[in-house]
Amino acid sequence: MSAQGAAKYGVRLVIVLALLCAARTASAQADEFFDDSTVHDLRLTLNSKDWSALKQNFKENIYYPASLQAQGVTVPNVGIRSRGLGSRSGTKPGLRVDMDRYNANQTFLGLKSFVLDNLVQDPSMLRERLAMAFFRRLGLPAPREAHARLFVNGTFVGLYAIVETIDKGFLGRSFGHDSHGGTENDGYLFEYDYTREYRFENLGSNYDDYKIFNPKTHENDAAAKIWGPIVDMVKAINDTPDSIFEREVSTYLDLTMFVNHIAIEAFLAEDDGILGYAGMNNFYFYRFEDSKRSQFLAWDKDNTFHSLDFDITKGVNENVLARRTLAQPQYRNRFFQQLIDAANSAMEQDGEGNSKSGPGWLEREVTRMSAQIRSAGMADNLKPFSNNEFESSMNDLLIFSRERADVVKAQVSQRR
Amino acid sequence: MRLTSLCLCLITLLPGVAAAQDVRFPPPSLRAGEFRIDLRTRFHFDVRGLDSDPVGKDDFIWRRARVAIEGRIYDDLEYEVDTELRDTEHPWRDVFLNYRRFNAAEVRGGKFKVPFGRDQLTSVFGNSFISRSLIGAQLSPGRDIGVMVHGRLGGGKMNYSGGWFDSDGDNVQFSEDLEQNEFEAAPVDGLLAGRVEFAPWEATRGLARRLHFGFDATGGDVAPGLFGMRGRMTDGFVFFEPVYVSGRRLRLGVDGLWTPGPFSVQAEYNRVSDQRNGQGLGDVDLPDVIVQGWYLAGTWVVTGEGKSGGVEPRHPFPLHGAGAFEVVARIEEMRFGSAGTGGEPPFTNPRAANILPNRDRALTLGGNWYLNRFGRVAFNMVRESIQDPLRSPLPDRTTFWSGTLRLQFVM
Repeated sequence: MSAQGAAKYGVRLVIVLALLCAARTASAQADEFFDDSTVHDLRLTLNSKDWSALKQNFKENIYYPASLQAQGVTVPNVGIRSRGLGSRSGTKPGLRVDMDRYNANQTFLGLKSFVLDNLVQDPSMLRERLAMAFFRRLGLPAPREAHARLFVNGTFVGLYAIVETIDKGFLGRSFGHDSHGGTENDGYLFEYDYTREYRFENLGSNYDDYKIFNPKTHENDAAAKIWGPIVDMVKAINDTPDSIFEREVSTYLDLTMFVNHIAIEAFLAEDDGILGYAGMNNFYFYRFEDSKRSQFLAWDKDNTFHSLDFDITKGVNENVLARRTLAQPQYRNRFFQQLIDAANSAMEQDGEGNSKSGPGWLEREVTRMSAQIRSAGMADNLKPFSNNEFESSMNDLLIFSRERADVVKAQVSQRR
Repeated sequence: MRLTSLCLCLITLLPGVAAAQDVRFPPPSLRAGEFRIDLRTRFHFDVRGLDSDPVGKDDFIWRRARVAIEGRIYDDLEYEVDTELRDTEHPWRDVFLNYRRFNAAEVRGGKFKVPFGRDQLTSVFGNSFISRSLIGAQLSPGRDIGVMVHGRLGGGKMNYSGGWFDSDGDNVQFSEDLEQNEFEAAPVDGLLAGRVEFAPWEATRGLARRLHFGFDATGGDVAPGLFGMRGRMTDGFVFFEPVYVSGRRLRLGVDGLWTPGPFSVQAEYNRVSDQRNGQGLGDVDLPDVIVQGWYLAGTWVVTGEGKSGGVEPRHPFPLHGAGAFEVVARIEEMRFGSAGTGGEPPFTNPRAANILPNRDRALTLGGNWYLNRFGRVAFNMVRESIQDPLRSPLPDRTTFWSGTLRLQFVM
């Protein structure tokens, strides 16, 4: 290699290393932003008229400009809007914060956006964060979360959960490399938009009927490219004979991951998830690059920890995909095994040689998080429940965390 | 298909026009003592193709169908009532009385054009181009209700007009193009406007005789809100959304026109500044938002007719010749931004201290075939380029072509 060639190669190497370092630094800073060992302080500065307008028009997705201060960084001109379905509130609005709304290149600690969950559907204000931590603990991709005190124009407006947005950054972090050695984040990402009860029944071949799968990437592609594989998947779920069900449906879905997902939701007594009481709800759906295969991603877990004796198979028979998948012995076994794994994980002792009768992981987390958010939660005057209800609900979670594992194990042994 | 339809329209239109120019009757007029009523009718029919709109929703359009009466009551009082038949929501165009006892100080009251902008003040039926310039259509106020004093001084070397108007004109609210969207009017509580125009060599016989310069300004206070100017391409696409403004809106303009023989050269520059008091994040004041633009236009009547005062063919079509032919070209630009950065990088949001600029630059090439004094066929090709690809009609494209063929009938 000539000296000139070596110099050129050296410069390229330095640039690549610098970019890698920058990416690593941003990622490390984002980790700090989602560090759940502390309650963060977030400050938004808006024009006073805009904050009033946002609260007044809370049912609409109108963006308002704001500046964000967090982690010692000020990000000017971010876009914020009201968000949520049942959690929309004009008193304590849930917010989506988009860094790149008004400048396509702007990020905050490497993030393009995040969500501020107003926690108005959960008197304990813990369920969302706790559930996502449990998903991650069991190896399923789920948003990182932490609690935060939110100040708007200098006034404390409540305790919120910072929720990582499911976007390309999340996908890259969760799925790592694709088959070409690049980052696996350029597939088709959908948010499931709940509009009515739906449980994977065959809706026919009209793409419009599948727009409940709301594309978040490749939005401008042809409808056939966006929804075609979903239409084919639903057809396969409904029409394939049992004998070839696994082979056919596995073309479109990682069935093991699906079973793991619904098993964790069942352990967490999630009544508004994939097997929800009113049809499917609260998930994202990601179709991998250059593939027909997709995976469910957990989202919005405010309604978990529904009740201690929540039936682990609730909703299975109503949902076509769950019913037909769990009719296959290997997936039925996988479902029960994942429930046992979840129970064991929830009860896992700390690694410091404490006695087996000590609190399990889930109980320790509930105790830690409750202590962490108690004072901010009490000070939150805009939450739609009393401080007694807040305290009582945290206590319910504590009981759940202690006893749910045994209840689940008992249900598994009865039904296996 | 388009060509066939156009030919059918021409065949239908031309015999009537030919008959009209042969007989050479004046427009219908009624006189009763000191009272006179003249009837005027004017029509525009367009065939348009838009590169930015592949669906082609605007193929054939009756663009304008105007009927007006105008005349005098006694010798000193003029009136005009002009209505657009296609516009059911805002049918009234010019509706005014003009007291003309003194040439040096006439008084006009009613609804008419605010005296700002040479292009805007030229009738769209007398304009050499199918569409007004970007600044003429959008930065000039257009029509409003008001009172104005105007007159001629120095033997015609200077014309002036100045007055008070109710609001900021209708151009900020809706376009002359009825196919385009209507917008909320900026609440301006009174607008002062004035224009002076000089023709310093009016009395001479040289080439400079037809040289005119104009200077104009308007000022008014805009109520707080999302009432900044918006930037529209010629097809109506909004490439710059309004920003929050509050305080003084100041328009300044300068223009020139030279019409030596069959040629014309016209240029204009307009600048609009809007204050943004208390409109920032945390209610801070922001640097003014600035909209500015210019155009340079040239025309040549290749058959030699004089341009000044409008082209009237020496050999009207079809009985006495082929009419008159004119080629036209215009280059123009309109850009949006802020007067300062506020120490921030640029953003597109409506409360950004440093507004991410965007501009539309357009080149228009075309021609006019003046059939006779009643009919005209015009064709314009427009190439527009938008600076910011994220705020252009189609993702990742910045350059667009459009073409329009127009049939005009005026009597």
